[in-house]
Amino acid sequence: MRYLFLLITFSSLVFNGCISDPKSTTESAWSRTNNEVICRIDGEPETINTMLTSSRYTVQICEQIFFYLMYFDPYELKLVPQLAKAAPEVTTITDETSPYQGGKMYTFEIHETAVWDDGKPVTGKDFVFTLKALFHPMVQAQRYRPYLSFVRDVEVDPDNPKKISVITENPPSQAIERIGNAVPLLPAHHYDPESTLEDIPLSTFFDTEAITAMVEGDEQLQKFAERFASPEFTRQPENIMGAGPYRVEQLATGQPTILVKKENWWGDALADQYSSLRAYPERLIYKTIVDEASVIAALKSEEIDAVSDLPPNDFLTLKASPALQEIYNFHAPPLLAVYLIYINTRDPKLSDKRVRRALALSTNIPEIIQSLYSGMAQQAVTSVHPMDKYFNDTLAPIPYDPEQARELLAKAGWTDTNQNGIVDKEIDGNTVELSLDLHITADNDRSRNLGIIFQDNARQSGIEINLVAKAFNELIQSQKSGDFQLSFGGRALAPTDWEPKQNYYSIGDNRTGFGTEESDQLIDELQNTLDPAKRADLYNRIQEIIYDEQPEIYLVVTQGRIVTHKRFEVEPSIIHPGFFPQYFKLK
Amino acid sequence: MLQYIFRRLLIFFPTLLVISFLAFGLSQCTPGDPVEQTMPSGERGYISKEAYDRTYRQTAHQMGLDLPLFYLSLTAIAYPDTLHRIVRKEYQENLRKLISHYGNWEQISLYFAELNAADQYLAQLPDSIYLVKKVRSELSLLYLNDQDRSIQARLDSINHFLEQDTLLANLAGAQMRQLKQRYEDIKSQQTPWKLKIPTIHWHGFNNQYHYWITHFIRGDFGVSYRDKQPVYDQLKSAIPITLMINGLAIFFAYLLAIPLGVYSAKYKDQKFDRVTLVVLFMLHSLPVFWVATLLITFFSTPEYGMDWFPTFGLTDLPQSAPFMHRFWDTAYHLVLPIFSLTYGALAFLSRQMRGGLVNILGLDFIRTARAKGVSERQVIWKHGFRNALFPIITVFASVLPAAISGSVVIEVIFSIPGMGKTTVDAINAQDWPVIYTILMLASVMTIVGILLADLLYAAADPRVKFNKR
Repeated sequence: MRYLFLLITFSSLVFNGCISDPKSTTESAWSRTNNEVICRIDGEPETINTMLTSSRYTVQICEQIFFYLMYFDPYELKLVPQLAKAAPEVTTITDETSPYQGGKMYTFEIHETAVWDDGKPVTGKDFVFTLKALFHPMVQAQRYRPYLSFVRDVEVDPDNPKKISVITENPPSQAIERIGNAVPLLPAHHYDPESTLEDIPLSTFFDTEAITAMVEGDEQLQKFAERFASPEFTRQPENIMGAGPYRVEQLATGQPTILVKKENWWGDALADQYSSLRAYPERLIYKTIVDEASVIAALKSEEIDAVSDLPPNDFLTLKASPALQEIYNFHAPPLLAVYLIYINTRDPKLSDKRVRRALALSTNIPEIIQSLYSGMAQQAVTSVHPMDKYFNDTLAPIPYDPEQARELLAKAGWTDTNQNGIVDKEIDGNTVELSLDLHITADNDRSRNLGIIFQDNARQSGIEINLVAKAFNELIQSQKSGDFQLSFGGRALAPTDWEPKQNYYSIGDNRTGFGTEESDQLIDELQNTLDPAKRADLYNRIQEIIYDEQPEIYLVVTQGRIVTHKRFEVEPSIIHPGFFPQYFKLK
Repeated sequence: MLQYIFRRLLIFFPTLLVISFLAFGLSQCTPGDPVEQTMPSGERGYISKEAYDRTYRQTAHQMGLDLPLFYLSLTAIAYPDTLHRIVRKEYQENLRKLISHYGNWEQISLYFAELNAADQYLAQLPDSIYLVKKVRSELSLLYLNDQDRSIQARLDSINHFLEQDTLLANLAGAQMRQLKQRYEDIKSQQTPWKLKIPTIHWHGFNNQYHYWITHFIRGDFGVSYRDKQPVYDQLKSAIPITLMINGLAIFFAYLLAIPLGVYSAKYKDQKFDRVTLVVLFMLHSLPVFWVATLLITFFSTPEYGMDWFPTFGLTDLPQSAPFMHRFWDTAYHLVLPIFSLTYGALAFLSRQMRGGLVNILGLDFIRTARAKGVSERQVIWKHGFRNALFPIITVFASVLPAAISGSVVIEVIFSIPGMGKTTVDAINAQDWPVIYTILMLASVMTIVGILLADLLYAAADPRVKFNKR
């Protein structure tokens, strides 16, 4: 009995503590006032070289150290000059002796004052070196190479080493973005001190077979690649060199990663003219916190200044706390991602677009928004974000309407003849019920919950949904092989112009089998159309076709959940992670 | 004793070899393709299929994944010994499945060759013929389809597209008919009996396992797929962190559990014993993730007036800070994680100690010692304790591998980049070089732990002899 009393007392203490009103907090004033930003990242930074990493938090850190010719401004949502003085001058190659006659040449000029950490100027030679390193077959940067597959050569002006002309063949409409923003510049003299790559023409690097053969027979070229990717150049702070405003002061496993603003950095004098050269805080500190409960505790104890991607419920709870409102600003900008359900249009049950529309009408998206996102999401209408300038706003969100869904199914020949609640149809003499498999990710709660809601909703329209949980890799593989009926997915949206070719062209990474002659023609036309008005018309029509064909059920576009310290002026962005610490301005 | 150690070491190496075989075998059973992870997304968004295949082959070659897996393969005679030459893993797996359905590699290889030829031929045709793209799209799925239903659906679709366009039918009809015929041949010339006759294929020494194990023995653990850094460097920073945390937790657990166990035995069934039992079992039954989260919530935020400890990490001080400052700061950061690791083990260890000692204290030699007038303190600590150590030593053998493999839950909650977190990250990223190395290190530590326990038995009880059967 005494033990029971002890147990009850202990439990009461614990549970009372857990549900304690946040208002009871004793913290009210800011305890941090300095000009350094502590950001939360959810994984240890790895290889500090943009070319060699695919980790999103490492890329965030790299962007403070290495600079691009052009930068994608997260607020204006357009390309702006960074190392380049201006957007490139684009000319057509008319030289009859040139093998690239008819191609385009993009001429950039780098800021006169731009220098590396050791005071040496940033020149066209560094740009050429960066491309050579990128296309070196032993440097594992294959992820980025396709973006520059149309580049044929680069000429550095003999009279002005800061002026470069990039020669291209059949450049895509996003050529400037791909040339200027694919990879940042690296100092040739630092990363290739023995000038191993200098004498090999850049064009040789674009010839995969030639450069592979050359590297296989040249030990020096092999050593270059090994050293380039080695911890010496990717982990040792003193050897990580870029033209950006920050240098690495501390980079060690288990320690916060510390970046320090360079003294007399060349970009400060130009910051008023170039938004991409602004960098206000003296130090940027990246702390790795994996567990969400620890992130919340770190916010409550004012140990961090900026955090994104908080779970919706936690974000709203923290936002409701008066004590935290005194310390932090809470931002919820829209995010560039759409969640959807792929429909395999090749499947006999799903080849009729009326059945696909019936599925969309059977999806209670407001319920999904409330249940899974605590209201912090918006219904998606197409694969274009509703805030995108090319979003076709004449297309209405598809409502939840099981009655209309049943009517459409009936028109498509699906009715409940055996009164079992599931619609059926006679196909080749057999009665087939409209029972569909929905692939969901096995280890993702949201995916599973979404599946349960969808299953319940579809039942109201007489459609049976079987949830099939798959490991993420298996889920993707089944989408790629067309071996699915319905499959849950998400898609990051580019802040640049929407590129429908990848997902909606008849051939490509098109998982639903969607594609009409007209949509392919429009997508082809889009590749060669630069006039914004004409592009808008093309985008509108493509969206109309996709909307009509319904190869996917568009669910939601979500909102960011960002918290930043009040001592900084911060403007949230729709680009992930939603804040850019170099632009945090101390009040 | 030396002979015993020698005998144990003789078993040590074959055991490790078997573990390494299993690790390699299991890696083949998991879905996912490490090469694919490094490739550009959207196969044909920016890059042609030919260019993609070339880059894939090059990357697989760099990662050593274009070699056969092992020295030999025990398989059915239906499977050729050259299947590893199909470098793209998804194609290779699909061919393997087709063989498992039909057992006739000759026909399947002809079908695959025809599929390649058709794909290449159609790539030459102008995209202005719209249905060419549709047919190519169907062909691209055939590379990944093994079920008759799916393949038949693809071939029917292709046929349907050819019927819609006379020009396309004239250009590609013969080739598509040939492809369909090749598939029909697979079905009509099935040799399922070949799947029942086992055979061994010898692949030689130029295989993935040989390359890895020979480098591993030389101390070269390979390069991480995830961050392209040597595995050695990754583990070099994680091992000391985990060893420190787990070492301290084990130390404190034993430091508290042994006296608690001894006194519980001494005061068996008295108030101290019963209270200790209840309290320790209550602690033991609290899940560690829950306690760790509560500790962070209560003791690292000002919300409950007890902002006494930092929330996460190992230290807030830069590496340039004086050693003692960093030492104390790290100690301060480690209080909550070490408490979380220690409390759960207390109950188990102390009950082991208590049980062992209670048995010993009832034996004749203890009664004799007491009868001779030896003090109770000496009876317990000198005569009883040493003889009751066996269960504690047995537990110690299992603690050693845990000390190096780390605690995933604690390391994730407190954001400590030790071995536990490294392992989880590696598994999520299918970073096999890291996974193999951790597995091998944990195996070595398990074997060492067992060997050490045996030696400690002998040290604790001289009656234990290893050189006598």
